[in-house]
Amino acid sequence: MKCEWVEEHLSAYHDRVLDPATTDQVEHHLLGCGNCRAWLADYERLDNVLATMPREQPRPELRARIFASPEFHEILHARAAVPPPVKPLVPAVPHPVHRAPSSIHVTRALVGVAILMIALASASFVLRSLAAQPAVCPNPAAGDHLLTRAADGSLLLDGQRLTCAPHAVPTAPFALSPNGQWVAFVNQAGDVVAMHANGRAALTIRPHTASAQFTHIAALSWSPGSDQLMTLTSSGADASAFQVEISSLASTGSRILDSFTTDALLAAPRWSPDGVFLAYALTTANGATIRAVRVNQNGSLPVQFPIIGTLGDLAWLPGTADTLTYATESPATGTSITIAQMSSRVVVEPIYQSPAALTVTMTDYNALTGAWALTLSDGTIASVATPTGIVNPLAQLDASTQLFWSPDGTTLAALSQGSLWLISSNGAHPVATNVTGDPVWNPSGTALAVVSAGTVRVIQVTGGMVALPITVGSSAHIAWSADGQHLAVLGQDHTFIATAAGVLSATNDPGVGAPLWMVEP
Amino acid sequence: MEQRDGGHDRRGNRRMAMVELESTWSFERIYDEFKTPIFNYIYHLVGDREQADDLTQDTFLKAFKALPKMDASLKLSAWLYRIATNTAYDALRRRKLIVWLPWQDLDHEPADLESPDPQETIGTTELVRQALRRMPATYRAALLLYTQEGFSYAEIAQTLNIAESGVKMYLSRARQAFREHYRALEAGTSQPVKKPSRS
Repeated sequence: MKCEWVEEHLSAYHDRVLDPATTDQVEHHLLGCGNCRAWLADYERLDNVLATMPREQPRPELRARIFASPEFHEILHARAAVPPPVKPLVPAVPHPVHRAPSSIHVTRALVGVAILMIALASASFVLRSLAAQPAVCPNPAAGDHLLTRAADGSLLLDGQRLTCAPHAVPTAPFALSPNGQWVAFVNQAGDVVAMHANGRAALTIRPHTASAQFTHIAALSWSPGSDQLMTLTSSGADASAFQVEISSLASTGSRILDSFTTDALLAAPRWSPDGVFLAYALTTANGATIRAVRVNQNGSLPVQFPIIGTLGDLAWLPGTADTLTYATESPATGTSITIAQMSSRVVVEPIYQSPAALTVTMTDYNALTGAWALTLSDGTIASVATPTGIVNPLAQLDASTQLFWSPDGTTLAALSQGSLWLISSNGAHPVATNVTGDPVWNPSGTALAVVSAGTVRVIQVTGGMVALPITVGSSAHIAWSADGQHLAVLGQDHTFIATAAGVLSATNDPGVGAPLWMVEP
Repeated sequence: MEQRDGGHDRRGNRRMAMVELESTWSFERIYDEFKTPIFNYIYHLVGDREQADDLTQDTFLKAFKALPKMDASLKLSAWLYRIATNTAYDALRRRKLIVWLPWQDLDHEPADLESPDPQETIGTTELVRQALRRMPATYRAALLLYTQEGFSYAEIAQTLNIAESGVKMYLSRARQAFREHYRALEAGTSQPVKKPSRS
């Protein structure tokens, strides 16, 4: 992908208004391109410069000039002569109007607006401006709560504006802790904030950076235990100096775990299942390299080993403390899947090699079962088990088929030329056509939501589909609550909360970015 | 950035909601609430403080004249900025400066920009003003509305009377232009810094 293409989309990416597919493309490019990261860092810096410009006051005499002017007196005379043109849209309701003796009131239009607002609110729509009423720190009940960003960038919990914490307006990226109780983001001051579901910040970290001038928080990631937060920062004039920092909810401040310089970060840090290691991939003078560092051992040197070819994806094997699996591709050998165990030395073992003359075009890895799903260039869909490398052919679609494992690893959703297939031990079955955007699995893997023909549909693995009365255009942000009971959909004009059976509520602020479901224990 | 100038949040919505929900707002209160942001917006559009005072006066008088005739769907904040934008554009046209192309402040040619450390000489605020002045006015308006007034894309579209898809393009072009001019001024040159060669 060319930098020019990314540059065209960088401003919209910065504002989080790109569709999910384009967002993914831009993010993928940013991981490997220091120039574009520097460009993005510039946008963040300059937006901040503009936003924090001191405001000047107009001259005090301007007020008198306006209200003593002949034009203003003409306006008053005209108002007295002209009957009010505003017709309330609903029958008028008694509405107390307190008039200050010296004020000239703009009552007609504004009372009309107030009545309209009341009418809309009673129609169970939560108007955006109502969400702007003076907010308090919420005290959410136990259960799932929806966190969204209003179009103005501020955070809303269940539609209520969070104004109680001093963390101001967040910017990307957002990271939800595995237990759903914490969300981490970068605020406009460049601090990393960890916020609880009650809207209170528990952690505010100013990341260490090599250069104060250009700083970009490239990634945030919670440990599997939801108690530590990894911050990956890039800085320097070309944004090529990276630092991996760890912060703990149990203490203040952060510590630098690793620092490195690279032209291209190939994979952002991923936690091992037990939270002992972080692994990532980067290019060095000697080529592509995987690097893993122990989180809780101060001063321990990172483990580092080279990889051959281009990295496709990097993940940890389930149930192990120190074993990685990764897919690579090279012109000489095609696509390989490898496992690497890091003990006193690194033991690398290739477990899968693509058939001669074929390459792997798409992959998806399931962290629960450790199974890779692959699309081959002849359209074969197959799974590869780790660590055994046993190959299981699943279906025959086409080479561009995208794959999405259910969280429990029992069903594979395959998106092939706009048609969605479900592949399981029962075979492969088409379940929807005209699909735009990625399918989103519920946490238990029993159903998925997808945008099909501009409408959100919930498809059950066991059969059956419900088309929700939600029209969203070509794409939408969709998120399931942790208990799988609720679905949040951010469409073009509204935010919807639905169940698999129908829509519960709609808010006329579509918000920006992806919604998150937080959990109050 | 959450609160400034008497309750104006980053995107301006809190103020807008208060105005629309409150039935006792007077012309004076609208003026008091919006005078500072509207004045600053106009000031950055036209680049002249004296003229910004005059145009702020024009903006409020036009608004007060039209307000009683507006219907219930009025979004006061976006509507005020629309009047301010049009008022400023009219003034720029009267100056015989081409609005749709970059323009220079002829009265304040940046003679001091060649000094070794321009930031020390003129400060960040002046750098911002000069960089803004070198941008096309339409892009300038979009960038100001987004970053300083906290408008959403939809509100910018409403204010500038363009499609929402156009806002995306305006802001992209605006950020590119502002970045180039600001960096050039930071570096002490009056020409935009050339883009590095990219893959």
